[in-house]
Amino acid sequence: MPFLASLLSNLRSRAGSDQKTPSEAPSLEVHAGLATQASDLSFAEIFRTQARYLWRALLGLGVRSADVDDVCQEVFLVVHRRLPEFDGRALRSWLYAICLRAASEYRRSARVRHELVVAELPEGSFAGSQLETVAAREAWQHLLGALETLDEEKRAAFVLYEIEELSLREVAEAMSCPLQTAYSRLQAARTHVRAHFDSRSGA
Amino acid sequence: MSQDPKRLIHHEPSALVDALQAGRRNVPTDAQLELLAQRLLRHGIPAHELPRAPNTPGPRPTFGASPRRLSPLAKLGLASIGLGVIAVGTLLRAHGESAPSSADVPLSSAAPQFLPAAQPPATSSPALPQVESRRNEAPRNQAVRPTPTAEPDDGARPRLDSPATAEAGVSEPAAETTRSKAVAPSAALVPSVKSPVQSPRPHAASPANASSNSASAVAPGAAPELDSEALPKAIPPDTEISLLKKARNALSADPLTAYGIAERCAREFPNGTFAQERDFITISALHRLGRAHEAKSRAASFRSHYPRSAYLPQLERMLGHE
Repeated sequence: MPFLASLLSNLRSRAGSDQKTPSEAPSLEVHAGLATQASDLSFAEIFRTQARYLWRALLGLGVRSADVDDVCQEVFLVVHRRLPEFDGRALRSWLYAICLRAASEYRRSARVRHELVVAELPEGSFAGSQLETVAAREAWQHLLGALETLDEEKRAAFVLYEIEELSLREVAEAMSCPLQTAYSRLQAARTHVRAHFDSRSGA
Repeated sequence: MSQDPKRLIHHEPSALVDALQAGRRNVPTDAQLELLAQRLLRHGIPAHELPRAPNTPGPRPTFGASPRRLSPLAKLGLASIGLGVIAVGTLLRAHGESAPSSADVPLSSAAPQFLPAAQPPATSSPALPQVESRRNEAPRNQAVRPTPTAEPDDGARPRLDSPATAEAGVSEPAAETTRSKAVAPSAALVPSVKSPVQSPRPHAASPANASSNSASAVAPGAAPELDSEALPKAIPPDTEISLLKKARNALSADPLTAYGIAERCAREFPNGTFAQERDFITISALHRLGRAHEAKSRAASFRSHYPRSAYLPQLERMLGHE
């Protein structure tokens, strides 16, 4: 019987979604081109189209890879709970704002602050085919090192703009700050990150 | 959006650009997302609100990419075409003309092809192998998991829809709520710019922010132009990895350079981690340079050093054509 109930529920939701005309249907085909007018976004669509990017954003915002599934879960629980109230506008800003909150909570948690972390497990030998993977991981770790020395707001501006490819306006909306402030934070973060990479190059 | 500053990833290639590209590739696997979906299921998200697993009714569950399916209008259009063909065929027959047999083909084939389209798609994704069973368990699990509706509603709701408000600084301080339990979904995670009773957002009132606001001379509304200072023309450090990347990139277009870089890498990192990769590049470069004898000699040495190397089949294929 639970299965039947689930099936009926599925059919109902499908019938509801099929009633939309193409023009009304939320355009969720491309991450970067999300339409924000959809008032009937489904949680499944958001999960399917956005989970990858929110997960990635959390990593950039300082959530350790060992914990990112936990934090991402929290993000989606909040998304699910708040979705009925969401007005359908500025979806990405709304989602990333939740991510910012989650990452901030995570970074401030006592467990994270007091935990002694060995960032990466000691590596064994690499097969030659893993060269690119290792190089990418090394580059990412270096960028993470630079981001770790930024304050929270600048880091968020940098990650959302440079990695998540949000527009500056979306960044400002996600951070609940004026556009100029978002710009200032981004510029300061860029200067800092560049200096970090310069110092490595000069070493 | 077009007035946004140029993103760093579009600047000249550099270590920073490489790092940003690595960051953008840092997405979870389908298996990780599947696990996440299962966890959400256990935490009270109804099964039908999660992406569907293969062989379940509805669109194919693909993470990241949206399923391609016929819209209702498209289905209607196809049905109309099919009916039109049927009508024409019937009309032709009624007039006693020798109707082309091809007119009958859509009659028998179009309808069966269309109707199953409303059925579950035959194609299935390798992802989500476990979701179906989890979904069937969902109602049972709901008995022990927290009910989302039981959570207190703090009324906080993100109102981020108006860029103008954001620019004008109208956005109210966000909620800095007390920390909640680590496992329970935290209401503090919800961005809020609405509630007047909530304490001011620290960064919005901080002098640092004020200075950063005033420091910017860009007018609101007009997208601020980042100073177009070029990325520093710093030479990336010559690590073993960076040398090998350069060598491999140069291999097809300039094998001589690739050879030189690989040899340099061998000198600078004689006990490097990627000795196999380096030697493989060296042999490939020699082969491309037409120095077949040298290449074969190196390959023999490679074979004796790394008898179980994954590169051996490639070397055999490459040098076997000599």
